[in-house]
Amino acid sequence: MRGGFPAQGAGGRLARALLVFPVGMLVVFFVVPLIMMFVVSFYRNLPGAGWEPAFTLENYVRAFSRGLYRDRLVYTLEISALNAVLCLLIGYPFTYYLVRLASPFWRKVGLTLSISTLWLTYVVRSYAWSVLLSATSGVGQLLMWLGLVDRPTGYTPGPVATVVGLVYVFLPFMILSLYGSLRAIDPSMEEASMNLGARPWRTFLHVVLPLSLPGAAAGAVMVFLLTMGNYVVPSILGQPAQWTMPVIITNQVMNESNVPFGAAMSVILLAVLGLLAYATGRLVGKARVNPYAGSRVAQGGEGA
Amino acid sequence: MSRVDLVQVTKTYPGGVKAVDGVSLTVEAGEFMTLLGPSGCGKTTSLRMIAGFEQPDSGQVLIGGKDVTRVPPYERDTGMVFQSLALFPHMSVLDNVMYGLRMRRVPRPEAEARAKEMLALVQLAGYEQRRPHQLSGGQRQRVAFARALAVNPSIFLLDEPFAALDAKLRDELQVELRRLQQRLRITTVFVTHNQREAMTLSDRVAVMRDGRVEQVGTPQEVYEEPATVFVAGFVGMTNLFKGHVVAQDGGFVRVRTAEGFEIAGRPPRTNGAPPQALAPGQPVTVSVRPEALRLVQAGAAGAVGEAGAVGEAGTPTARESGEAAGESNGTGGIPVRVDMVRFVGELVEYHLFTPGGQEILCTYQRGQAAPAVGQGAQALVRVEPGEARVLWQ
Amino acid sequence: MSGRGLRYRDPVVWSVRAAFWIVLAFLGVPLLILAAVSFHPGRFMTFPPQGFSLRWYETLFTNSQWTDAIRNSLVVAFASALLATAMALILALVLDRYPVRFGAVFRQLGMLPLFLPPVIMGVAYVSFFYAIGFSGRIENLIIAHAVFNAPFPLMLISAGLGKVGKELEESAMNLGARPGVVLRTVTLPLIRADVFAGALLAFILSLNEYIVAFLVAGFTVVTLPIELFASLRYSYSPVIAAASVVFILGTAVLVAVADRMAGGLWD
Repeated sequence: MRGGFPAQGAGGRLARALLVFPVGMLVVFFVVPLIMMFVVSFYRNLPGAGWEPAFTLENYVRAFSRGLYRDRLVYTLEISALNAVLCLLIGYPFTYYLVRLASPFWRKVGLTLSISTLWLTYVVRSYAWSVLLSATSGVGQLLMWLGLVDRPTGYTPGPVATVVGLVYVFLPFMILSLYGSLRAIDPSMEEASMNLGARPWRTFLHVVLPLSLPGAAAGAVMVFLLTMGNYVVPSILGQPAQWTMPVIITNQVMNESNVPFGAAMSVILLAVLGLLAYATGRLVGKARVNPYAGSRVAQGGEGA
Repeated sequence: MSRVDLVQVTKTYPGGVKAVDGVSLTVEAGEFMTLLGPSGCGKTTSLRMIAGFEQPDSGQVLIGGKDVTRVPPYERDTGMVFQSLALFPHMSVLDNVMYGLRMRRVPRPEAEARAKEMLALVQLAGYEQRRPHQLSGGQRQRVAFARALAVNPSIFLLDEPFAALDAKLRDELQVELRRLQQRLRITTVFVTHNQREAMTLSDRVAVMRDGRVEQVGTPQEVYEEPATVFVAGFVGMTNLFKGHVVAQDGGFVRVRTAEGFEIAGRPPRTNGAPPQALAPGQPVTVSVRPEALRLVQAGAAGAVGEAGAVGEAGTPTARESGEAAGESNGTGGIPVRVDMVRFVGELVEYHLFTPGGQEILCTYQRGQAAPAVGQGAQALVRVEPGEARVLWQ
Repeated sequence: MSGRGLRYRDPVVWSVRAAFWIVLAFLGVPLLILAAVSFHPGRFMTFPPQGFSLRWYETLFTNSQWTDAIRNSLVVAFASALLATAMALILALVLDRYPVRFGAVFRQLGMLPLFLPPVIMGVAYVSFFYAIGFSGRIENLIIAHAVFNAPFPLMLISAGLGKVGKELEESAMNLGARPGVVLRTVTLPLIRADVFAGALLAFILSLNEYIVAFLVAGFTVVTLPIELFASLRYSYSPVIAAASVVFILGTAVLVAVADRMAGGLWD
């Protein structure tokens, strides 16, 4: 609240009346649909005829008892974790180099280029890789031209394409998160470390890495959670073996018209995401409060 | 030009912090009053209550004798200069100065003429079309003055406006502000934590602490006759000695300090109330300004030589010989060790330690006969008669 | 810096430098190849392209299948951005200035869609709109995108209000301006750029959004991402590449404008 704007009186009443619009929108078109999804997840599916209001656990039973859906959930967790690790490994040295570019102009250009694909629809970004990894264009031709293969081979759709596509799509998020935390490290801290006799490598290990840990952790968590919710990349670049939970859910809803089952799996996915977000949020959140806490976490890890 | 009254004003923030605690204060018409105190003492909250940005939980705010406690800020007719200056960045200098006039529905040509007149008054004629970010710090400050005064407010309010400026510019603008204020004879309330600023600008100073007013008086009164230990310590530098009353005779109170030395001082300020006798044994604090202390060489009666008179130690100067021998208040000197001697331009500072480890600061003006004692020397420190003040604990 | 010459020869520095350029290429090359493919005259994509032709761009802007998708996308993006910005502006302004009970809860509610996976939001909308018997309408998609993208204008406008600070508004009031006048003469002019930037971001996000659009109205309101997705299922026509290039350029321009207006989106 700001001083001087009277809480009482016509102005205050009008202001609060205006709030009905955004809050109403959020309640009716955000909260209520989520509740509806939860309710529908207990309904009974009528094949070809929508659903029937009921209270049945059969959708949840199906999701947990069939190996297929359990496997998909586990696979989704695995590939999301893999993607988070890959993005971190690729993004860290890249961002560190970017942050330490002497010229502010080139730093800005580098950052802009590296995150320029952030806003572009997943469809186009996945499609670009399906062109690049296909037999007739890009990599297939390149490998044949190099004499590494006899005839052009395609890698899409498949596991390689899926992983490459996921890294491609989510790397900008990682770079953005790392950029913030690496940029916040005063270069004079590195200079101080070297002045005290630490070689560059040790300086990095003892100063830069601990201080950038919160940003790295936040980036990894973000990539992990975003990957878990992504539909487009695995469905364009993957075969059924690479389909993640969002693909399974969408297929149920759109192709099988089984909304109750799709809703039940959505509730399960939301619960898993919520638990993971809560757990990692506590971990990352603690480290984030204080930029120096990162180093304490690292030390605690050594000590424990 | 109107007077301002705060009557038993109290303001508690959520969380139970009492920002202002029963403050009563009158600013006379045309007077320059400074609210002085450390951060969190309630000075800014008091100012914002006069402007109408905060409402007191209890008590009244009167402007020109009229109760304005519930009047919103835009109907109060005060002109305020904010700490950040708060110049509108999307408007020209002229539009900034005209803003208040336009809000009062002054026709444009008239408002423009008045704004230009105000800009001329603060020596900014010709800057009308600039944007605030195109001005220097001092120029921005002057625009803020002009904008607040253009509407011819009944009260002029300033909230630490010089905090962000360097010392030299601050001095210049202080002089300019005082000149402006005296010329317009406008009732002014100024908030600062800088005691020097408060002393040099104000007709009267209200020293605040923890939401209360500790003392109101002219700068000289507040400096020379502090009412409380806090005021003595906050306004200027001082040496404080805790002790007990030995006796009260004549105009002086004799106090034995915790370390066992005796100091004579003038009795506490009574603020108009009949003087209260100080019973022997009453715990009190004695405040002695650094410039009221004189340094003499230990053992020798008045034997500290003049600065620069190296090798002539032992030649008594006129001033010191008389006083050192006299021990006029019946108190002996306090033995000290000289820890450090600093030259601070117009002053020489002696940092001294008593045998009990209390630090004492003693200063000599440039041109005064400063004693030639060096680091590590033993010396005696004496209080200029009548310069010590006894304060309630 | 005296250490520079020394660092320059360091093999670690060299490999990091090489990695930097490889990653930059990894990020940029796919889009460049897409651009190249879009000029290929043949009916099937190949790289490198044989020849140069703009025929696929012509198809994109004349074939009703594509022009309908572009029109749908623009309508949804424009309307939902407007709605999202209106929600965000009111929410940010009122919560910033007036003591509202549960104000913090409302603000968090406004930010919450940002943290929900779009697939789940999509399924929620399917459940909701089907239950109220109002499925497959373009209005549904506009509302869904508005609610889903509102956090972005909300963030930018709140940050803009924070930068304005309260003293400017108080000083306007001190000079005699009533709250409504303060809003018109001081607050809104100062946050105008943030409001536009927020609206632009909501527009871009809606334009690029696939899965919520697909779930909410995929079979009735075909937007450009949906059309792209559908056509690459069935064909590998370079028209898809041409559509992608238009997408990339449009998004790049809009993001650049939004970035300028917000005074750097990433700082």
